[in-house]
Amino acid sequence: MAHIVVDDLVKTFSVAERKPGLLGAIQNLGWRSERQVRALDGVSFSIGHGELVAYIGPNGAGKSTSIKILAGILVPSSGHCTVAGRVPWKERRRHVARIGVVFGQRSQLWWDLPVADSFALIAAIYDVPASEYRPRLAKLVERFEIAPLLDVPVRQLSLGQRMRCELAAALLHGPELLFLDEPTIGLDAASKLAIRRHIIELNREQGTTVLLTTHDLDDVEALCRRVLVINHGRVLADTTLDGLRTSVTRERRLIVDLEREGDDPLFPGSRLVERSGPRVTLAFDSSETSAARAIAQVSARAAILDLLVVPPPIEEVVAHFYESKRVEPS
Amino acid sequence: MTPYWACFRAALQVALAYRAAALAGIATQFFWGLLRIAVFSAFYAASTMRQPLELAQVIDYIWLGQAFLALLPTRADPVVTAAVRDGTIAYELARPVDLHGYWFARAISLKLGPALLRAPPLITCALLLMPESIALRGPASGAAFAIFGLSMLLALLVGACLTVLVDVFTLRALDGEGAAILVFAGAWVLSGMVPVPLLPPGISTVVEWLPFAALADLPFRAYVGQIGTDAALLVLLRQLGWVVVLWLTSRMLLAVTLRRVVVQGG
Repeated sequence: MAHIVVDDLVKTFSVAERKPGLLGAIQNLGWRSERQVRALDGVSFSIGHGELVAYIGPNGAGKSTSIKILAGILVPSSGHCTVAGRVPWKERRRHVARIGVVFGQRSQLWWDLPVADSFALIAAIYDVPASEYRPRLAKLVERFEIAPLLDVPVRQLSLGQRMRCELAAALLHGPELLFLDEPTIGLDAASKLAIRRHIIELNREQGTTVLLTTHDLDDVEALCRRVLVINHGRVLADTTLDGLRTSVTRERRLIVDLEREGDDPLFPGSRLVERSGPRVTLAFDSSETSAARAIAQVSARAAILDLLVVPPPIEEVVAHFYESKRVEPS
Repeated sequence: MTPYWACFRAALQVALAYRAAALAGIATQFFWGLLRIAVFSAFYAASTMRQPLELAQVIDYIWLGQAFLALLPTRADPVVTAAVRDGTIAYELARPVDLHGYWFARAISLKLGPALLRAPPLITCALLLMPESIALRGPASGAAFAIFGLSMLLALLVGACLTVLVDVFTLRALDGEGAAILVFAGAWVLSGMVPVPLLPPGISTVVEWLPFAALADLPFRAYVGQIGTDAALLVLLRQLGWVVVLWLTSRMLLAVTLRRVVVQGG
């Protein structure tokens, strides 16, 4: 049986509509209209053991709501889901004992205490026996390279250091499933790379199932073969990044470094994307023109120093995808 | 180590991490105690009527109040308030603990931590270093001390229950300020700022039955012997009753609230 099964999950919030301004504020005293917002509008998917899946979508798409329901924090309005055979909100305590959660924008460590103390407390909260805790902690400290941080109060850590500690903290009870809600938010490039490497290792070596939400598509590219795209509370696509690319566009980019600035390498069926000095970027449709033909066309028109064929950047693909589903990316 | 014990230890550790605050607290409470004694001495010197408490008893009462001030529920749990405001509450819900029990353990340690740090030096000072006329004296009797001990324990539980109730209101309304003001004002003023028997007769009868009197006034009066052994059982039962009522109320209210909790934002 799949590790996570989500079936037609719906979550509606009622939002009090308040009129803006002083006059509106006075009106709100007497009468307030309520509006139902469907954060999830029939979400279904399933995830197998040991999968590493990205859950992407614009802000307000319903990603965090889904994760919170799966983590047993929110109760859905209707629909059903099981995680490792349990219904999260019905067996909350037994369920959360088996999962790990990291919310990138929040911290679960004790601000005033050294990291090691926070770890010990979390282990106690999860009732991890000392015989399991010690070797696991040693391993996590090594994996996330946090040995020098253990004695430092959490408030003195940098964001990148703290996030490595947050991940370790979420794994102290040896969960078989990890929910990561924007784990790389706000991190610098090096910290992002480190976090990604740790997640991949964890998934490969321990077989931990990982469901990750992110706005950083490099995260997705580096980590996940499978991508769930959600918007307006519905799953729009369940595919791979490449699948997403081809479903949106067959376009390829040709980046050309010219010998003489000002030459025109454009050929019929191609389009100029960008020109900066001697570097020209062209776009062409790979279903009409093969890459080899495109290169031949360009080299027939201009003297070339170097060239490179690349797919369009994933940000554009995803933005395109949201648009093609007639939704607004935010 | 159970989760609740762990949480208790954590809050204690945090309290111990702030030594300067503890020192400042001791000094403030000491001088505030002297001030209160001065006020009541003047009051007694000017009074021609016989009061329900002797001045010496009031002085003991004041010292105990200063020593155990930290046990009063006079502020919301800052961690819970912040967690509700910024959504970190999501983490607390993602842990395999009973939230009510967890908050209760926090509330107890939030009071007991500072009290354990502050009470011993203050009591030692008031017992041994003060001139005899304003010093703290020993308990009225062995029995009085035993009742005082039990009653203090119940007082701690009542205080923790009130804090949890404020926590729950904070979660319900995003901002428990209304409930907090009510509870905290009561805890300051009606728990023994003026010993309850010294209030006007009608008022003191009502106040005596409020949960706030159960926070400090009742155990202190047992210590000084104003509540005798015969009345003790009723007093202890009254405190226990408040513990049960407040515990059940906050627990049910939290269960209802969690069904419709919304954690907003990414």
